[in-house]
Amino acid sequence: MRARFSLLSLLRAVLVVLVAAFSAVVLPRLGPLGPDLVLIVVVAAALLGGPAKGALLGLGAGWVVGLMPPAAATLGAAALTYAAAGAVSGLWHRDGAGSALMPPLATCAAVSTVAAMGILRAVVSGWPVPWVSAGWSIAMTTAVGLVVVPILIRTERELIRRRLA
Amino acid sequence: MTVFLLGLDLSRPGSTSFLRTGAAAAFGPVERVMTAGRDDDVVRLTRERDELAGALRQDEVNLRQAREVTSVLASPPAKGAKVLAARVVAFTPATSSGDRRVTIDVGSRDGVTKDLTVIAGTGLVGRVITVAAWTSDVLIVGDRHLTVGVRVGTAGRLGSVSAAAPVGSMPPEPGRLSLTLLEPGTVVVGDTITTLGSVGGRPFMPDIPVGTVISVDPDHGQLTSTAVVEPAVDVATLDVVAVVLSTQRSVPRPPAASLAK
Repeated sequence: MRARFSLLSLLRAVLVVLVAAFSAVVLPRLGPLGPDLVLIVVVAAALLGGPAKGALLGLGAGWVVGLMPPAAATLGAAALTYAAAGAVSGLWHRDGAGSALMPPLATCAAVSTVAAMGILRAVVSGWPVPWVSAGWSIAMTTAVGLVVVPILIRTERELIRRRLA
Repeated sequence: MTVFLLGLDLSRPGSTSFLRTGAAAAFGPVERVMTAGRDDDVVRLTRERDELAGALRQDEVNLRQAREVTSVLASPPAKGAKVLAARVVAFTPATSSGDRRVTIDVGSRDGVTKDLTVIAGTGLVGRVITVAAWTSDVLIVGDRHLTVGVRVGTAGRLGSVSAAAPVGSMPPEPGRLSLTLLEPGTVVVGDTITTLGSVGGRPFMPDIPVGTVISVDPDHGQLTSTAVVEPAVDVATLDVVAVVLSTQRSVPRPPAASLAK
């Protein structure tokens, strides 16, 4: 059981690294604003595993995001932010199949947590509050999560069912 | 016989349909075989066309990058300096608020060290802050942690440019910079801003264009003037840049004879 869990964790870690690299290399060339794709991976894991696992994966994913070149100015800030977002989205975890509304609600809650942290940071630092980018990020990430989170959850469940992970 | 059939077809069009049906039954398969052959041709030609279109796009990209490299290397800031052309490979994700950094594809193995100036064809990009073996992180103009000492206009008044708002002023719009003069004086719209330069050329070489003044803040009784600056480089579309490999002066400066008589 422990080996299966570890293999799934490894797959999630690889996915987080790939998505974080994609977010740094490709997404910024498509436009100034974009969805938070790493957070979507965290939300999917949190919906499957609950707040604690969501926070744990969020912490790891945040470190990957913070360390992925170009590295963030404040290392650790992204890790704590994503951990909080993972814990918040894990609150929508249900043991059964759950409602179809869970993925978008959990994604919206998670990305709102990240946006709120960014706004808080701007207010504390005396920077202009990024209302527009925060709003766009919430809308775009929720829209992508509506489609992608159920696919990720289904894939992970299928891997577990086939004992591949 | 032919004239008879022609007249029959003209007078009673439906009466010769058996001929058409028979001919279709006989020649149709032949046409299908030929058409199948043409399908292969179409597939092949379509594939070749797509490949050529892809190659053309790649050539256009290569040509654009070559032009950008030429533009950077031929730009006034690069004149006489040793520069290292580089390509931007990664940006700070849009979800990261406040930070404006890029990663370039040259590192310590290429001779890059910390605090070197990075330029593009039109002006200042930023300075190197982290160096790895094959990549480097660059703090770019527009990051709130970056302040650049500058000269303003033809008079060369001293000032500083930053993305952060001066005390008592409204923060600049995203993508714009704030200029604060460090000495009494006036600044007018259209003034060009160039780097002041640092000791040893680190982190900034002198006389690199930073931007142009597009509006002057109203006078609210502050000690010095403030203004809004349009950056010379659009950092959102950065692709090819150059790292200025500043070198310490090794030749002593010769004294000059006085021209006074």
